[in-house]
Amino acid sequence: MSAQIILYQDSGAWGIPSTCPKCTALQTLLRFADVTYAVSPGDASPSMTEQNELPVLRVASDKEDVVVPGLESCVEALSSVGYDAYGGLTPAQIAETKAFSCLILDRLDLVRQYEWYLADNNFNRCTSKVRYQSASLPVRYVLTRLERHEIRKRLNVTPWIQRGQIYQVAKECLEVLSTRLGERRKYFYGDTPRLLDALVFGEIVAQLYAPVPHGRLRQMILEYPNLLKFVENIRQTYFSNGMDEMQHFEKNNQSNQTSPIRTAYEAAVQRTKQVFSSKKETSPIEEARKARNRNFIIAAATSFLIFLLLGNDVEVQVSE
Amino acid sequence: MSAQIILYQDSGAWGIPSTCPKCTALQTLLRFADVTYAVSPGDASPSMTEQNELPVLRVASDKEDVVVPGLESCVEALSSVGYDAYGGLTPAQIAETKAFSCLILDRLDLVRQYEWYLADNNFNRCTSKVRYQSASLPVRYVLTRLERHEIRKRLNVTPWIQRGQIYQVAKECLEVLSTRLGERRKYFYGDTPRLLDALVFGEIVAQLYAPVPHGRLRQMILEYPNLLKFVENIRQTYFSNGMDEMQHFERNDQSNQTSPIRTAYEAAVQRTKQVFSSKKETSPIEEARKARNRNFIIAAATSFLIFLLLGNDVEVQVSE
Repeated sequence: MSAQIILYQDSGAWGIPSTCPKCTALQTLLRFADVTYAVSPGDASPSMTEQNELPVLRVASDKEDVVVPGLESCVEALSSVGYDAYGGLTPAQIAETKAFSCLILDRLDLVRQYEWYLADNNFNRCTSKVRYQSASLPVRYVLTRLERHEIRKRLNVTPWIQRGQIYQVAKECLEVLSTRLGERRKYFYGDTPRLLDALVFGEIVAQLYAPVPHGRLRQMILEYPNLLKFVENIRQTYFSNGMDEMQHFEKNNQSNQTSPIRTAYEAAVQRTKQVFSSKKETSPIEEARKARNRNFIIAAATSFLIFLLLGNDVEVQVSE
Repeated sequence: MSAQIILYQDSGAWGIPSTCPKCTALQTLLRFADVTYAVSPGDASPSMTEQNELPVLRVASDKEDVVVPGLESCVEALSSVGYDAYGGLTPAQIAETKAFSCLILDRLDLVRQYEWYLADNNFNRCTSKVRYQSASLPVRYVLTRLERHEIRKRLNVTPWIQRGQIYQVAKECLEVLSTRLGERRKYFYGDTPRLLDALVFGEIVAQLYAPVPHGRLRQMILEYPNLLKFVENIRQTYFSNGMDEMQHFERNDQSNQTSPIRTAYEAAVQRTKQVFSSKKETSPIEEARKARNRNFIIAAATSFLIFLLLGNDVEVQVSE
């Protein structure tokens, strides 16, 4: 019984599978499971399911067509195709994985959102250009600002962000992950990668590869060589074949502190341009949809102007 | 060099040290450290320090008078009086403690806040009666509603609460703690209680002893006998002397499911009445302050009415 697995997420950027760490974690987990999957082209909207969450996994086989929203449910669904993300772990280790995933998703990820969305320089120059890329311009502007508004609402009521302890908490989280990983270990639990490895990989890779102008998180991560080695190891083992090849993260060892970031930024922008200018595999359906959206907006604006001028409600007089 | 330690927190209720789990955790930690401390009577306001957080610890010695806000800073300050809350733990265990404390404070505690503040029945009959007890009536009404407003702002933007997965997450957190504790262990790390034990104790005891009418969290906790045994063990060892004696949690083993909760609720209300009717140790300063507040409010309202009626701005005519 062959099942076709389709993953709905945002469009990737910067040479990494996704700008959203949870979606990257799910792709990583699928590669750990050695499962062939396809990524639906373009940006999927979180509101495609009731649960209002990405990533969304769709398992289509002859018997049934199941849509699974959210990372936790996707992990459970993977067991139906034969991969147990907690396989071989004791109950205490599973409990520890859940505690660490809470630390990553409820603390470290919030710092990433703060840096990407609430720092204006970063948002205007970097984040707003890659989120919702496949939407046409007016819609993309609105959607990115809406996303920032949601994130700002959440971060403004988080106590440790209100108190300004943001990077202190980030440092503590990275310290915790680095200490738990240790020096000699390849993965968190022995020689086989598990769910925790995928989560840490997704989070660190998003913060490392994002060409944000003020990348204080990236500078923090560079101080933990065992985390960099961990990420590089997974990249080489699971992300080095074919089209989805992830580039090695370039770290420039100059003494001037701003220059390596600038260089990495320029390099990442070059890669982004490369990705954008290469022949995108947008299907005709996608192209037609984008054209339809664009034409609709133009028609709506034009008809509004025409009614305004030709209708009897508003008179526009040109003064002599 | 004798240092006097004073703890600023809310007034205790329901026979437990504090209605706030972090304050209870700090008191538990002070008892683990075998340090004599005093609790400042009445409710302390979070805005007593810049950091806008309770508990606040004050260490007054001959040389200096240090005020330390917030649980994390208090834990660090305890090392200055000779108690290391992480003593004897490996770096990996300290990292694990931090991950678990993130799970407790950012997930389980939010469910507790949801149940105490956002469930109207619970809030009106229980929570609003014990928070800010030492404030006079109009101020207490306003402060409790303000607190609920802040909590509602925070919970409304938390994704897993928006999706309605509240008690699912609570179950998972309790499962994680129970699994990590195991069956045979007395404390989380061997035979000596540490910071994690204090945190878990504070959180579980708050949820267990609170006489909320719809105590779904309490029903969940009752399903984990090792957590109950853990809490009982700490209570007997550290909270069984003198005035601050904590009562044993009474669980009625009737077959009717609502009746044990009802009985526990009635019993807890009885205890609360006992606590309130007994001669409170309010100092004359406190009494004078409360009387001053009350008189000020009455004087302000009365003068406002007088100016309204006798001034020339507003005329009140009694129609014939």
